[in-house]
Amino acid sequence: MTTFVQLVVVGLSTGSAFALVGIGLVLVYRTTGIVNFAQGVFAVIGGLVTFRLADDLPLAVAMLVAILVAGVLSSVLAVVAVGFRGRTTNLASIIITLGASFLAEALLLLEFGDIPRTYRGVSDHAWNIHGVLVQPQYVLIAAVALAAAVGLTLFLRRTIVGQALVACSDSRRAAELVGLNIRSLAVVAFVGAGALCALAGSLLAPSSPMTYSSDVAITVNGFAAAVFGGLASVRLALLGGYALGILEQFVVGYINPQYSLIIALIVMLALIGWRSRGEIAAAGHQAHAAVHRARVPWPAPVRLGLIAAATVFACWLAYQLAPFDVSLYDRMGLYALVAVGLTLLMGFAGQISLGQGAFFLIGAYTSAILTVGIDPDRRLVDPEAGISPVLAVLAAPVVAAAIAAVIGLPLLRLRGHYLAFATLSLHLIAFSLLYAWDRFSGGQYGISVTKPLEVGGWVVRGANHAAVVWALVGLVLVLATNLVHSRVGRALQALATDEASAAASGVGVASYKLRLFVLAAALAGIGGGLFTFAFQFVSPEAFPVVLSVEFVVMVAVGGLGNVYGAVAGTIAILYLEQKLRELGARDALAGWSLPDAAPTVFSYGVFGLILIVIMLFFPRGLLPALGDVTARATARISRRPSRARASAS
Amino acid sequence: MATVARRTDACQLTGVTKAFGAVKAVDDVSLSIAEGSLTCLIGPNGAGKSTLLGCISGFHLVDSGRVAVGGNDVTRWPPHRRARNGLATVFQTTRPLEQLDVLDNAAVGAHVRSRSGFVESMLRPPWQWREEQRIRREAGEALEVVALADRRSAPAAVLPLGQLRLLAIARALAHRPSVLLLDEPAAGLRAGEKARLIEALQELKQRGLTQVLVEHDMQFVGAIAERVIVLDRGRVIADGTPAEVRNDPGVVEAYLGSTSL
Amino acid sequence: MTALVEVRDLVVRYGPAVALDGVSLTLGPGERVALVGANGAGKTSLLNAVCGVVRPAAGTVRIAGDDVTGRAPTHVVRRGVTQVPEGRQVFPSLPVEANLLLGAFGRSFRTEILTSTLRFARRRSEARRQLERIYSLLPKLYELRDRPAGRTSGGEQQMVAIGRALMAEPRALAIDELSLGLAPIVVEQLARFLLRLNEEDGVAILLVEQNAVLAFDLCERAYVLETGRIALAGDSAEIRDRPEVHSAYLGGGPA
Repeated sequence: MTTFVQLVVVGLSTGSAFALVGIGLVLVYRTTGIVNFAQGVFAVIGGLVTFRLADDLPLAVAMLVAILVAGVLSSVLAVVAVGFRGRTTNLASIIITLGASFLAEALLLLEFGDIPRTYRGVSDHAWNIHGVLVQPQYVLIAAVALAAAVGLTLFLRRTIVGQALVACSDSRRAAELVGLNIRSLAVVAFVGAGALCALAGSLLAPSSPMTYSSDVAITVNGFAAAVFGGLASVRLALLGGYALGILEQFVVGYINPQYSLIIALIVMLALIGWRSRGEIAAAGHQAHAAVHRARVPWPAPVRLGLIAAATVFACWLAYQLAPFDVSLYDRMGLYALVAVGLTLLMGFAGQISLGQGAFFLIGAYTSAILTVGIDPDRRLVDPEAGISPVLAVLAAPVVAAAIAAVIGLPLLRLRGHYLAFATLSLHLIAFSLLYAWDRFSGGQYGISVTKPLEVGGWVVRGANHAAVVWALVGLVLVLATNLVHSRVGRALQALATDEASAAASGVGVASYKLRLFVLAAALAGIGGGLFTFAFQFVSPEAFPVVLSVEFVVMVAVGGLGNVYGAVAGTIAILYLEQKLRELGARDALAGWSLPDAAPTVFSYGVFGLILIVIMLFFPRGLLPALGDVTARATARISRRPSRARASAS
Repeated sequence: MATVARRTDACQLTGVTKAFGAVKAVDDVSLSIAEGSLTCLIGPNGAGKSTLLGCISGFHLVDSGRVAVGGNDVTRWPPHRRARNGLATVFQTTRPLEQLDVLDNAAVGAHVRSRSGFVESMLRPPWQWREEQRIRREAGEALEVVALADRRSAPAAVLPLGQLRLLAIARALAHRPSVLLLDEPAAGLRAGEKARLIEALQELKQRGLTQVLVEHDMQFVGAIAERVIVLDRGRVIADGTPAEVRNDPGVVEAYLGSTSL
Repeated sequence: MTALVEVRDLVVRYGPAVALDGVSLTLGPGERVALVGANGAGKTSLLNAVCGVVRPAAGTVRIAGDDVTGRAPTHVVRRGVTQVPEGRQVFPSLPVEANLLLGAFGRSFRTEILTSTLRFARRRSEARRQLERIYSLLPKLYELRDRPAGRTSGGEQQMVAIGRALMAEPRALAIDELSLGLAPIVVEQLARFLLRLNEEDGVAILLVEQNAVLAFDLCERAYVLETGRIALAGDSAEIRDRPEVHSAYLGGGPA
């Protein structure tokens, strides 16, 4: 019995932190329609800034300063996320806040290093009440959460500014007409949410040390709490937070700590599904993604010829590179496969997926497990356990596609931010399962594959592997461009332009979206399947959650829906990442000493910045924008001589 | 037992009601559209015209009543299924596919008359090629009907609004529909463009296509409609030729209103 | 005498579609002017262009001599023109009194929220007085002051919307579709109220209305809009029986 109560007590306190974050999300969403993916960052800022000041200042003052800092930074984020009036869509805002969270992580890493930080809370001594240990800190945080919820509700109902915020969420158009400035109110909402989260973080840090990467779990949990109230109710977000906190503690106590995040995510997905149950898929008139300007497609023979020539060159190049460069080149090809699928999905179906990394992971582990043998006991003793690597690799996309087909059906009914979170959860769940099912998956040690991938004696490794990968990229380009320039391609473009008209033209909207989702999963799957044999090894390290975001960056750079752009974007981003890694591997940079994790996080930070800049200034993609600039420049050049001729005559 | 063949109307609504919350946008409407006719639905703001059209096209599922098109009971069918069975809809806000040329835009309509799926489109077997040629031919024919054939290779993005409307109609014609629905086709058009539109719709009438339009522009309606149905607050308040309807006192009051100030 | 609202050669486009094709009108201080025409004629576009919701492609909008073309709604509110939008658009979760007070808050709003709040706080007593005034003009609102605006009837919401607009102490009210979705008797009451407001307080009225008869009864002058152009303009008494009005709605007249 005491265990039960103990778990409830701990759950209420962690749940309170989730509730505060959830309330912040609700506040911002209701006022602006934006889901702030960076919300958890402010909790971390709260904790870390308090840590920095806790030695010199009384705790309460340190916390206050932390909250102020968070408030100021929130206002900056607000201005950036709301963007330019009319031009920034909700999807763009999601990506911007995502980018901001990465940028923030990088900066936090630089400033605070990678060791989780904590400090003394209210008191070191826990109260013992009938055998249940209650930390005063728990009581404090639960009380604060309750007070914050009540306070916010009163603020929204009784003060004029609060009422103005509610007015914005009721009817933005009417609020504008009355003379309210939506932008300023958005800043207020963001600042309020940021302050609440910083408060939560600084209260939580004494019992849960924080570091730069703690924000993901916090944001996800906060979102789950907010979904409980449909992103609209402060009270339900509070209840949702408590419920979630208690649920997670039960899982930790009674089942297995490794499952706690997974269960929380599954509950969140169920809630999202329940909240979306009334909505029918699509049938709106708005356009998805970038609708490119007129571009005459090359005739088929020219296109095929060019792709073939480029592919031959790409394969040849694999043999010219130094061995160290080959592995990067190899990864470029593999990621390009994923990017092509994602660009089709995001560009034509208008569906954002932050979970392609999950399918990549599934493909890799499928081929690995099938090769070494499904039964973990047999693996050690029987080298012939498992099937031929070629079959295993071919099975990878099939498994990925099958999973996508099953979860795609309910998933694709979801709107923007729900879909973004749901796909992100996919990756988180897959990643967590690698650890939870470690007997099967090798856990943190991964799986070492001894059987090489070979076709009739020809071993596919090293440069051979890279060549095969790029040959596959060439093939996929042919198939993808064939698809785009076909009856189905036209239907997909009709879908991207105006879903309702597409349906009126006989296009099965939901069915096509699902097919694109499955296709993207299959491409990611085969990329993953081949990835296993690049190093004959897979481990969770290769599939961090940020991988899914990287794919989105690559697609955004290349232009949504642009198949060639996806490949170019992948090359550009991976090359950039490599250079950043080299930069971060140095011990010091411009006076700052760089911690060990710097190389990777540096790149995250730059990705974040890239995402923000692209969404604000080049929403159609960086490469298409460059293409426009060169087109205009060449047009101007070709016009000049004629003007001179005209004036001369 | 042999069933007696009846001459089916092109489109038939029986007791159709559609409410949004407490408001009945369409209130127990029954009407039959004869084959080959050109009917206009008019009515003041909020009368329910677009909703009614939506009930026929499938974008609004009716709360009660029956909708039949070409003899089929389509009451529960989603829009794309109705599109595959002889119905075509032209929206006011149809954006063209800007990356493509005019012919390709029209060819989207032929989607319902072709079969290649994802796999075939990627692999391009010979029969897919032949089908593609057929689609392009049919799209070209649709363009000729609306007199846009000379612009078939132009990128759709450069067309002025009047031609975009014609293109949207061509796209609908590529279905080879039996019933064509148009939602405010004349909206935003200049005088010359309206004249071209009238020509196109009259050409379609010559070819025996059943057409149902929602429109506000009464000059336009007067020029083409054989039959005008007037809706007010979800009900049919008048049904006749344009001249009859124009002078119906109930219609005049519904439009111009009345008060006792 | 400078017109209160002066619109000249206004062109409004939505993409390639032309909603207004060179429209000019004036509203003098204390006048009641109507804008009638069939749906799709461009009436709402005109109002939205005046109030700053939509940026015109060409032409100018002046309020009391100041050029406000293309500026945000908040500027227009400060210059003295507030809109009662089509379909009321009250704030349903907030009580009626909060809806009204927000009308005054909007008037105090500058870019920065802190100064706006302070300014509003300073003007708090004024706002209270305005509130009392509105309650005396529309006693029903006082009864409903604590009820969430979403739970009031259509006619009551129209009153809330009008009250909210009046809280900004405007020189002119721009009303979009007064009668839409309301029972005739309710419309009658509202129209009488507007008449009194105009005669006693000198608030000018620009009424966009589909119900032409109501518009002619209430307003001294009228413009008839037909597919983006002014087809007819003049004193209500003179033009109301002209055949052009009939044909603007129902066609069949001289083109």
